[in-house]
Amino acid sequence: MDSTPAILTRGLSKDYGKLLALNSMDLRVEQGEIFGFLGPNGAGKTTAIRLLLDLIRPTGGSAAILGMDCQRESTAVRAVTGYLPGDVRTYSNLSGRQTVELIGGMRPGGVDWREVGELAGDLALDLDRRAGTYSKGNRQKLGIVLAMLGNPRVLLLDEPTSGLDPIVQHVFWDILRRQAARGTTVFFSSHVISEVDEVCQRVGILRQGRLVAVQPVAAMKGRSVRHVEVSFDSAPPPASEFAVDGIRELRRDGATLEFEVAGEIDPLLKALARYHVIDLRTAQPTLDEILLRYYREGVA
Amino acid sequence: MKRFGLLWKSLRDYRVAMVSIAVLNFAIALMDILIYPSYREALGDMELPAGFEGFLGEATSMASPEGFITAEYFAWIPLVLITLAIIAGTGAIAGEEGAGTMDMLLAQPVRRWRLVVERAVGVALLVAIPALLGWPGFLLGEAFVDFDLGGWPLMIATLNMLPLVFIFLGLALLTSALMANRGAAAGITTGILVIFYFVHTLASAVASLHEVRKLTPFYWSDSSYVFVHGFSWARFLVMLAIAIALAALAAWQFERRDVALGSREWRLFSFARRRHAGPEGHIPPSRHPEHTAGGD
Repeated sequence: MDSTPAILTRGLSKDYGKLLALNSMDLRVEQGEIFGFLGPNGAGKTTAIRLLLDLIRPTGGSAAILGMDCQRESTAVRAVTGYLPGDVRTYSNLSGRQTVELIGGMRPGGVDWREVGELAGDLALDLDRRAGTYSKGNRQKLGIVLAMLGNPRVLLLDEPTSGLDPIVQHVFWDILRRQAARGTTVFFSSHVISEVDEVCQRVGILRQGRLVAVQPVAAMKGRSVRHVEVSFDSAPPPASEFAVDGIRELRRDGATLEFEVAGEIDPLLKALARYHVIDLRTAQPTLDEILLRYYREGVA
Repeated sequence: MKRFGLLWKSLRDYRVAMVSIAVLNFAIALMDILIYPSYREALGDMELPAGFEGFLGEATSMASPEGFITAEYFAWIPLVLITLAIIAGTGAIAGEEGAGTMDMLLAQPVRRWRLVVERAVGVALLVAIPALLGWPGFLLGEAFVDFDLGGWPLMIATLNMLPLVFIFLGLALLTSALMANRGAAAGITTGILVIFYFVHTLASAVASLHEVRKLTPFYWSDSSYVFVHGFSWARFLVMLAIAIALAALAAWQFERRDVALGSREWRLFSFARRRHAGPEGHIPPSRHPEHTAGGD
């Protein structure tokens, strides 16, 4: 695997006149990575993915997949890319198998029916039923099968688990992990934090068209606000002992203090080192809390 | 359906309409030939109103085989075929966008122009097959009655209808490439059809307006011309070239604009809006992909 980034955007923008859907996005996603792309509805996630696929044209900047320009070399880009929209639309008069045949016929190498059969089996999808009779979940499963056709090197997944039940979601996440293990890059947009937390190595947070942060999931959790409860063997130290940037005392209750700590916990531990601490409890922030903080404060 | 899948899909999607119109064409062609002898006698001394003569084209008499078959078959069968071409043609681009399936197609490694061409050829076959199946009806009828035109002129006249139908297919593709709204594209193409047909019919009926007929494609595809003057390659090829040019314009326009996601409100002058929003076109916030996709 070479060092060419799987996805590279520079100042990528999409301005609809009245709406700046994507504002100068700089992003680099490495090959083999599972990258989460977080943001609420309307943040610009779908716009970014459709720009990468050349379905819409940027008003500024550029984008490349595996070193190929997404506009000038769009056909080559799409030959190595699989796409799963959040709301899969299919032809109601075709069966799942016929849909696979139609779409597979447009891809280099056609359809590997053994792989399709295995994937459909994993997802419990009946390919012989007409797509018009599929539930939203089954349409989404068909979309997964279509996205994986031809073993693409980059998967662009736009809210891929919408409509899938929890069991199938876990099956899907396993499929993604297997794909990543084979070197496939997965670009995974979502507004469901838990699934990004489950499968992604890094996340990018999109807010009102701006990419406000790109970090490993663990680091993002690390730099966020967390609650720490400390119990002492006697009366707690005065508040002045904890007058350190990033630490805020929230509550005093007998021999127990509760703090809000922004970022690393090390300054608090150093301040506590001079005292006899009986217990220390820390609550790991959820990604929801992290995201809310980014949205509220516009933290970059 | 593997190779040229979209072409075959066009035929598959409208196969009921295609077969129905093919049966209709065959039956009407057969019936027209079979009833001609009885009409010939009745029409022989009849003086037709001036307006009706417009339907005869270059033919001089309704009682003549060429006049009869022009008025009874070639004057209106193209309209049926054009209707099918407009329905299927607007479905090929704007219809796919409205249904949200265009993203699935264009996420594959195909050029947009190829998609338009494949769809255009599919719809062209869709209308050509039932058009051509009128001819066996003529032949079968001529086996039973004396019609006096012969199979070859009827075949040429049948082929002569196709460029006219293809022009409206090209218009349907172009309007849907411009507007990304199937209803609007079909409405505008149908409006153009009605205007051309009205002008052609009126100008045919009014002697002082005869020259105006030349402004409409109906004049240049007049099947009676074939019966009276013989097949005109120039007319046929120019009409065909116009149809191809319209389809090429549609492909060119579709190549350069944003693909709409889901149904889109009528934007007649969407191309003008690009002046403000850049070369990618404009989708108002209410129809922005983030809002219509339900995804983001």
